Amino acid sequence: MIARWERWWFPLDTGFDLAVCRILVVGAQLFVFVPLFGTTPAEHVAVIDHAGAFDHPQWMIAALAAAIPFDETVWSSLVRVVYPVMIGAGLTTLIGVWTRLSASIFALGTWFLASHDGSYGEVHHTEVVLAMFLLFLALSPCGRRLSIDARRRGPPATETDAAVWPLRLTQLLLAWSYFSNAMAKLSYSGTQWMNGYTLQESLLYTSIQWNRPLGLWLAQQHELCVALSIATIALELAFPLAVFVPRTRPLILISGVAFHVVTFLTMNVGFFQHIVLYAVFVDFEGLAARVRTARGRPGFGRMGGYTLGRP
Amino acid sequence: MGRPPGTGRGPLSVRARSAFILAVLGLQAVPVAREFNGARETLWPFLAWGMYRHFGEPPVEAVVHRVVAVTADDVRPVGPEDAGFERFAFRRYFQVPIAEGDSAAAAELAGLLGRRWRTPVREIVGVEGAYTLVGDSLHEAVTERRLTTGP
Repeated sequence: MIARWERWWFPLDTGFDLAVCRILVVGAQLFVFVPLFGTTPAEHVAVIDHAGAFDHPQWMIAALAAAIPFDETVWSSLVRVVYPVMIGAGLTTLIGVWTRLSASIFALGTWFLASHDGSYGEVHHTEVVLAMFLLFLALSPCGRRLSIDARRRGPPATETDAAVWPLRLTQLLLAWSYFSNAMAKLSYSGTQWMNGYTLQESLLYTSIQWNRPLGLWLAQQHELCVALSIATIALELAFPLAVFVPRTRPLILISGVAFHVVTFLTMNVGFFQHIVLYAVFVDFEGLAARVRTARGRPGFGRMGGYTLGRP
Repeated sequence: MGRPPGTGRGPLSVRARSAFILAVLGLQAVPVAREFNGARETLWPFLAWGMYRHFGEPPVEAVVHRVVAVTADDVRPVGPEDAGFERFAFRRYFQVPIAEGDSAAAAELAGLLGRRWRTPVREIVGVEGAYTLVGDSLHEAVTERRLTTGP
């Protein structure tokens, strides 16, 4: 049992896939999610000034507030300091300078700002799995490949057993996010959730509130809403297969991308963080080996025990 | 599990990593259990994923809130970026309260807009649109609340 556990979580690997995922996820967070979808420091400060106190602070903020009690000037300064530090740490994580230390600071900054955002009465889920992945980077050898640290040290002489678990744990968290969502819908609402009216109601509100003409059109298509509701539940229930049955991954991940793109276009609900995190399912080292082979330059092939096709 | 000598083990031991993985997976159950007891979500990033779980029934209805500002020169729709708030915070602090007649929220928003636009805001109008889908057609009933905020 223990040996099986260790084989699944800690196979030997070069760390290439983890490094590619580090670059993709940190890059997307820095250059897409923070600037386009994130709350700016000025918006944080506006809420601090308006609210005058936390309303159901998240645990991290409550812990910090025990040491630094809520004060508009102090907490505004805190946010203004954390933000650029987080961006700087993100950049050094991306290029791989003091990679684990950088990833730790980047993760901490991301957790702090997202927790602060969620401490005034409204909590959002979009950054949850991404923030967990950043923490996993901080606890793993994410800079042993494709980093300035690796260039300084030279190529690693050995494989590591610590480079696959962050990817697998992120796969499980993604699967949990979908599966538990479907289970919540079915346990609270039963099959009624798929009656079409549920989706029509959500679409009607979000499409008008956020000016989504496609959503307003879709809200008026009852049969299509029934079909899309069934498809949504099916995708959410089936998502764990992507973790345990690798040959299902292409279908499930493409369906996931389509699902998130459609919910963004029709409802302004953008879970693009999940789409980027789908990278944890991809065998980048295998892809790179195939590219090298196709170019006629024999590569050194896969060195690890983690491939897309392996359970 | 036997490993070749010299194998890189990473920053944590296998036992520490295993404990961490179990903790992360186990903590996913906590917000679900708390939600069943009606507790608020305060464990970010350990959250229950049950949003959008309630079902709807006909008639399909939605209530949408908007804010409009009246200055000396024109009438402008007000969005989150005008007030300098993130969109959900703007809805929570201004759109919904103003549409429900909260004059203090209207006065605060007028002050913010006046400073950002460099022109006084005379009136804030909260618009509540109630929409109903009947067959293929959309019915709209709009209620306006005009809240005077300046000279």
